[in-house]
Parts: sequence; structure tokens; C-alpha cells
Amino acid sequence: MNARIGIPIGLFSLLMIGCGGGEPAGEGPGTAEAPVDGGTAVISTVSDFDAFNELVSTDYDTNQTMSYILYMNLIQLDEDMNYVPYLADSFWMPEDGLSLSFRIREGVTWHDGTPVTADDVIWTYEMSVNPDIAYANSAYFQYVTRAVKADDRTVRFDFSAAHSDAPMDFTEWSIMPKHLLEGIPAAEMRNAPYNRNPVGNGPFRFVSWQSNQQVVFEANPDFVFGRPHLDRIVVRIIPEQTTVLTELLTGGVDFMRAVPPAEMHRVEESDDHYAITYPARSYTFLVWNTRNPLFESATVRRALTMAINRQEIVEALLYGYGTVAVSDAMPFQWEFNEELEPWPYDVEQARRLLAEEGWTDHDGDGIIDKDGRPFRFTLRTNQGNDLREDIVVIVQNALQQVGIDAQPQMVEWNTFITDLKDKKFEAAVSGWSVDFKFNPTDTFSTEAIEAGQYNYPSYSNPTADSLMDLALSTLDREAAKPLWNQYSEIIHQDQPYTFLYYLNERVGVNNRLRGVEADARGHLINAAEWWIPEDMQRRGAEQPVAVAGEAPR
Amino acid sequence: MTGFIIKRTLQAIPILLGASTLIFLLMHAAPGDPTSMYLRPDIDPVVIEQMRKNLGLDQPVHVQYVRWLSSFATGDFGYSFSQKRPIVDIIKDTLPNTMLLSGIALLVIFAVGVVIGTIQAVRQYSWIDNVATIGAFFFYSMPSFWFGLMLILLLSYKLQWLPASQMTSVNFEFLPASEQWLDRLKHLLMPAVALGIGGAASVARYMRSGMLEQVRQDYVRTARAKGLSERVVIFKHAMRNALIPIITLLGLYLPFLVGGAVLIETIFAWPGIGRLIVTAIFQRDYPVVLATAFVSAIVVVLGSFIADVLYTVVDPRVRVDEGEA
Repeated sequence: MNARIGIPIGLFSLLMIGCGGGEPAGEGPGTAEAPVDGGTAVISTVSDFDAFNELVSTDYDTNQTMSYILYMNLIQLDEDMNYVPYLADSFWMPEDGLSLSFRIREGVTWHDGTPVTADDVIWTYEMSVNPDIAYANSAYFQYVTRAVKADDRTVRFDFSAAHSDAPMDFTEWSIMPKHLLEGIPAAEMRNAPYNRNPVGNGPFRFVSWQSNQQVVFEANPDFVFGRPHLDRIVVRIIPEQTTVLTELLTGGVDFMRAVPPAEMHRVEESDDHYAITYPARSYTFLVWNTRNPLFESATVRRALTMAINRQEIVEALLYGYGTVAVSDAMPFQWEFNEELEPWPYDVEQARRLLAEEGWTDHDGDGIIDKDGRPFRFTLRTNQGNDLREDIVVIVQNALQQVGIDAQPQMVEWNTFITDLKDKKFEAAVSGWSVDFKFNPTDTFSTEAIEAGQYNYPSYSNPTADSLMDLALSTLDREAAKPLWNQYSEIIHQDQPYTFLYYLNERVGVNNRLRGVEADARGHLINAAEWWIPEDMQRRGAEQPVAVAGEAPR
Repeated sequence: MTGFIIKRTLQAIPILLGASTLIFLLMHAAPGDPTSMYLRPDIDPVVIEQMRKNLGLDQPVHVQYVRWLSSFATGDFGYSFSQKRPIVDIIKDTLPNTMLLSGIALLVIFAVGVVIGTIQAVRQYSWIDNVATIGAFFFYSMPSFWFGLMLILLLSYKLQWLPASQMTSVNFEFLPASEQWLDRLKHLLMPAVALGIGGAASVARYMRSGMLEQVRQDYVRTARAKGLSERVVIFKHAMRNALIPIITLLGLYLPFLVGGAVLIETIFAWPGIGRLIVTAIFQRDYPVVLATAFVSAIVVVLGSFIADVLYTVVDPRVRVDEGEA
């Protein structure tokens, strides 16, 4: 439900920025040592933040920073995707599932000393649903009819209908300080000076923001769970990946996200750094337009999937930093069907299935045909995304082996998207970044076939539709699980997409930075627990500390 | 002189207006708008429509143009869509950084170019001339971003002498003033050289041929015949005349240094106006693109104006207030 956007990163490429999942991965060396306070950690990011205000920000990185550094969200997810209290010390739901209440932890204050109260939560909710604000994640509140103040520390959200995983909508929603923002008209919220000079309630306080240079946070000594270990976190904005990597390897930056897969070996071979990988919150797929006679048969679509060596794509293009995808649920989501195996790479079987459907090379021109129509189509992706362009080439070669002529076509991003939404394409390589809450109605339900909606393949299966509806209104995860398993089995058979891969996120960390954990939830999930051994802490000029592998500065 | 300035200023107005209008139309003709980045199926189309309305994008293009032009004319550049703050503030933040980088690069271009070109001319066909010629062609042909990356690879990654990015170190604010100065210099060196070296190479070529032309002139022979020292002949007589075409180049380089720093600023994470322009174009941040393009256009006009004025300084025969300069 998190509507953070992918912004262009690198010089000329459009990639979706994703992050996420599964087991908490890797920790620094010497984790047996006891953490000490002090020191500055330097994190790099490729593009600047937009606004440290939940109501106006649309950027993924900014959201992560708000959720784990600057603010406290009502509740959080643990590594198994269970809900744990955070700003709220308890939360409860009646058996009918028609409301959800949160009690705010006692003693939490904003960084200016004002206590956090139920009024802040209610005000933030009211602004989030105010149409003039145009809050990007307003879908969090699609079932909420009102927010009621039960007492100074307790808020109850009333729902119009019971729905599955209701607390999920509150895990990435940061509460804003009413006392600092309430005077600002909704339509002017996006230009409020507060956005660049925020007052949070989380483990770190905002210090300064130099546009396109750096943002500085410092430890909040009054943090309700105790002072974080680091004195400061400096986020430096460096757009060029080669430059960031150099900074990482020479000690200028301690923590680099999105290390290019081809360069990961430099981090792994370095004695002064360690690598963390974890499932990104995104997957990449080939979409077949099922309205096109070429792709209307599920058997043909399965044959197409089998003709493509997806493991090769993972190995050759991602250097192994990914896994072959099997469904639209991600492995870190509880809705994921563990039983499902990707269709095997089997060219013979693909040929057989195509022949069964009448697709053979009748006229001997090397292209299979049926009723006089050759199996020829254009395979699109968005221009400037090198990875996807490479995928198109690999797929083109693979399909040639079974006598299918896929003609690559690179299209400008906005045109690409508009044509996908209007279903004016034959086949395309695209991707989704996903949320923790699994909801396929936007992408695979019959309703979403309408022009401008996101059911790109125009996929329609009444059984899948009713399974989605049923599962999404089932309160209990255990009861919903079999429904989702059944749903994903149908998608697996029908192959509206050929699922290509789930990407793995790659992080490089300097040895000095200890205690780092990262998983599908993000790269900052435990920033409050990061620490730096005393002899490795950066100091001011009075005591420059040389660390192995660090450039003297 | 005053008349000349007024005349040039009046001439500049239609140029600036035309350039801005053209860019406005081009930006709006490009597919997509700032909200087309929000590609998430779970964003309500109503929300996106409201975002467009908040940004004024729901209006027809001609209405947007008139709105923009009228606020622009009163000096109000508006707010950035992406940075969500006044564009005047953004330009105030970024322009000085670019000016600093470009200024040093300009110094590299002309100081290095003129010195090398002069040496080459004076020592024509010596080994030093040949080496410099090959070097000049090499650096002139190399794209600046490639050279920048090579500098990072060598000086930051291998030798670890200089920092690879940004204007200052992380601990800058804790450094004593003396070391802050050094810290800034260290960060400035690589981008300035990477930005300037290609220009320096080309200036050296111009300077070499200009000098060679001058030293063959009769007045130089006369100066030598008068018994003037070689130093005076070269620097006082020949060089002054050889510099005239170089001054034209200076005017041409000024705008290049605002726009030309785009790639270098991106590679070295330099928070300048070049990087701002690129980001703004990608994000379809129309007001920022327009404002920065306007600033660039002013620099272009200013550059050619400065070049004209400088002519009069080096060449007493040119008088700006006597007709067309």
C-alpha cells in the first residue's frame, strides 16, 4: 500500500527502487562485542529526499528515513511480518473486525519536548484523507470511516467493513506533530517550511539539510527506548554509483545501498567491508496481452515461460542476486505459496505444447504459424533501462529456439506506461514494486481490465476473482492462507505473466559500522542499534582516526 | 559605453523571452508530467488528479503559460514541484557552487591553455611542442565525464589522495578554519580539472596558432630589430595580439561552464545548477527547468557581452560605442 515511487537513478536509467524481505541478513564482524555510544555513520543515497512530512512525501527513501530514523510509526513489523508495538504500546481489534484501537506509549515526546497525544494521530489521519492534501497513500484508509479519540492516549479507527490484515495499513504511516502543522492550509502543505526542517519523535533528531549534499541527524537522548548508539547519521547524496562505490571502498561512506550486482565482488573481496543481501520489494515479469490471439491460450503462455531460461537471466544479468519468480506474491509475504515451483526451463516441452495448440512451422520459414498467421510480435520495454533491454534480447533469442519471432522495441517511459495501461501492446517486460500487504485486485482482477487500470494482460478468471475477494475479507491469516494458495495455483497455471525474477537488494557496509540488520522491511530497520567501536569512530580534526582502508582526509 | 549596455540589454529581452517560451513548450510537449512517476496500482487516480490540480497542471497549456509568464515577469519563479520550496532559494543554493567550480575550471582553461600554447609557439617543433600537441588532442577528444571517472579511479580509489565526491568532508564543521580551506580545495581539485582540461587543450591550440601568426608579423620583427628583449617582444607585443581570439573564446566558455558542468557535477556529486537541471528534467519539474534555463540564457547573453567589452581592453582599435562591436 506504500505508494512510494521509483525515481530515475543513475544517469539515464529508470529503475524502480525496492527494498526488502525474508530473514534478517548478515551482521557486521565482531558482533560479540558490547555496543558503545558515539561516532558518525555515513550513508549514501542516489537522490535527494523530498519532504520529511508524511502527508506530502512520495519518495521511498524518505519514507524509510521517516519510519525508522526521524519518527515512530504506531506499530512495526518484525522479521516474520508479525505486528509489534512501537509508538503505540498496545493495539486491539474487536472480534467483528470493525475497528482498530491504538494506545500511545507513555512518555513519548516530540523532539521539541511536546508530548505525543491522540490528537496528533487524529489530526494526521484527518489530513491524510483531506482531498486537498492529495496524500499518496490515502488507500491506507479506504476502509476507515472515522478516527475517534477515546482518551488522551487512545485512538480508535472505525472501519466500514472487516478486512484482512487491517493493522498493515498503519505500519508505514508516520504521525505528524499537530501543534507545528495545524495552521497550514491543506493546499499549501506541500510547500510548508516544516518539510525541510522537521520535528520528529523517533531515535534521531533532524539537524540540517543541504540540498543535494547531505542531511544530518543526531541522537535523540530522550528517545523512549533509550538513546541510540550513534551520535550522528549523515546521509550523503551521491548520484553516480561508481563514485559512491569509490567512497565506500575508501572509507568516505560507511553504508551503500544498491551496489551494482557486477561490482558486488569488490565489496565481498574487501577486508574492510562486508556485504548484506536481502530480498528487494520488487519483481520483474513478461506480460502477455491475453486479448491478442497469439497469447489467448494459457497453454501457449506456459510454453512461452518454459522456453525462457529464467535462471540464466538471474545468473547473467543479476550476477546471481535474485531468484526465479513464481507468482505475484513475494517469498517474504505470508500469502506466498511455498509449494509452488517455477515452470521448468524445457524447450522440448515448450515446442510440444505449442504444437498441441496448432503452432508448427507449416510453411518452413523458420517461424511457427497457425491458420496462416506466423507467431510474430513486438516485445517492448522502457528505453534507458539497460537491465530490461538485456532481458528483451535474451528472451528474443530464447523464443527463436522454438520458432517464435519476438521483435524488440524500446519505448519512452511515459509512452510505455500509458500503452500498458491502455492495453495497446503485444508483450512487454515490466516490473512491480510491492507492499507487504498482498493485494492482486489492482493487477489481476477482471475489474482492473478497464483502460487506464493496471491489469495489463487483461487477465480474467472468475475463480481467481472470487478467491481474491474472499481472502481479502478473511480476518484470520490462517484461514486466508489456503485461499491464497489456491489463487496462486491458478495464476501459475494461467501465466498471465511469465514471472522472471525477484531481485535481491545489495548493501555494502564498512567494518566499523556494527550491528546492521536489513531485510525486506528496509535498510534502516534497526538504525537505532547501529554502533561503531570507539577506536574506529570518526572524530573532528582534533583526533583524526585512521581506519584500515580509509583515505586520510 | 552606457548606450552600448542599454542597447545590449534591450536586445537580450526578446532572446530571453523566446528561449523561455521555447523551453516551456518543449517541456510540456515531452510525454508525461510530474505525477506520471507515481506508477503504483494502489494510488487512487483521484489522488493523482488532485496532485495535478495542486500543481496547476489541470489547466490548459496556454493558461499555464500565461500564469507562469506573469509571475515570472514579476520575479516570482514559483515553487519547485520536487523540492517543494521556492526556486529562488534553490538557485541561491546551487548557483554559487557551480560558479565556484566553473570559475576554477575557467582559470584552469585559460591559465593552462595560454601558458602551454605560448610555450608551444615559442618552441615550435621542439619535443615539448610535439608532446603538448599530442596531449592537447588527447584531452580535447576525451569526454569530460570519462576523464572525471579516471581521476576518481586513480586519485581517489588507487592512491587515496583526494575525496571522490561532494564539496566538503563529513567532519567539515568540526575542522579548524585553516583545515576547512584545505578540505574545500581537495574536493574542488578533481572536478575543476576534469571540467577544464578539455577546454584548456583547445585554448592551447588557439593560442599556439595565434602566437605563431603574430611572431611572423612585421611589427614583431621591428620590435626585435629595435633591440627589445625576447621577453618583451613575446609578452608585451605578440601575446597581446594573440589573445584577441582567445577573448572571444572566453565569452563562449562562460555559458558552457554552467551547462557543461552537468555531467561533472553528477559524477562528483557537486551540488550545482547543472545537476539541478538534469534532475528537474527527469522529474518533469517544469518551474525549475524553466528558471534554470532562464538563468543559463542570461549567462549566455552576459558571456557574449563580456567578450565584447573585453575586446576593447585588449584591442584599443575596437570601440564599443562606435557602431557594431
